[in-house]
Amino acid sequence: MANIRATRDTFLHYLNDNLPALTVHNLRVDKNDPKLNEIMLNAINITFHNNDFSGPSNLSQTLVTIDVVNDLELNALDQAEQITQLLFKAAYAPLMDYTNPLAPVQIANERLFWNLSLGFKVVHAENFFHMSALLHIFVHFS
Amino acid sequence: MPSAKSLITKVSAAIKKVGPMARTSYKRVVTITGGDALIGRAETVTNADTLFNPQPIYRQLGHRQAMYLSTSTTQLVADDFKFTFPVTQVRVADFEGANTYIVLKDANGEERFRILYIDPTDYQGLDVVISVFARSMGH
Repeated sequence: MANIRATRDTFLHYLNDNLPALTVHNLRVDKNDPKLNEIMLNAINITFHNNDFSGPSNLSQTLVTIDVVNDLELNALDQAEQITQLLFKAAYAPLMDYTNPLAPVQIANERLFWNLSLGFKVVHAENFFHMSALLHIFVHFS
Repeated sequence: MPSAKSLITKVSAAIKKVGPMARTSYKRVVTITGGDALIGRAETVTNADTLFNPQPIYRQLGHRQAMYLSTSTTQLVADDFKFTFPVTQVRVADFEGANTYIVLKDANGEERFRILYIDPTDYQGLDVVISVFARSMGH
């Protein structure tokens, strides 16, 4: 079951580490830092929604929203394209255990993967440009 | 016509007369260090609480009722509050930090408030009283 947490950690780092020019922000509830739960401007905002846990030998999945928010529409478009290119380069990533974030450990024989389809929709906003896409991330654990 | 300084003194005295309130007010600054902020692992959270002296007065703006008696482990009255501070010891800048909160404490525990809006009242170019609107985050 802990693999859903590992899935979150791995996906966030997969984007963050492979797109160093972009700022990746995980929208999440944290009473110690409430601003984490607010959309960050000029950043890639990642929100994890449903967590569907399945037993061994079945696929567990989590639904992710990728929100590209930028002052400039053309920058947002470029960033959405970079994300798409990264995710389409390989449809999977090795699942990592980030319990010790300084020394992540690969979880043997397990990986997370996603469909090669990403539809960004424009969300109306008055003061910035906002594109939003949904992505299902699957993880199999034995 | 009173001077701003005399008005500050009078407002401060008036706030002192209205108090003390049922719970004690603190300024809390939360510092998060170390770890991996992206994934929220292995971080160290430090709360630094400073007693407001003099104490502000406050009132609840809504009508929500506590679901449970306040203890250190249950949700308190999750509502908006207005705090009124004399300016003898605090300034607007004291509340502007992104990691700054107001905490109310009593024998049953504490309730943390997120600062929504800072509204100083000026007279002759000086702040004479500071109102802070804050939303409860529960215990």
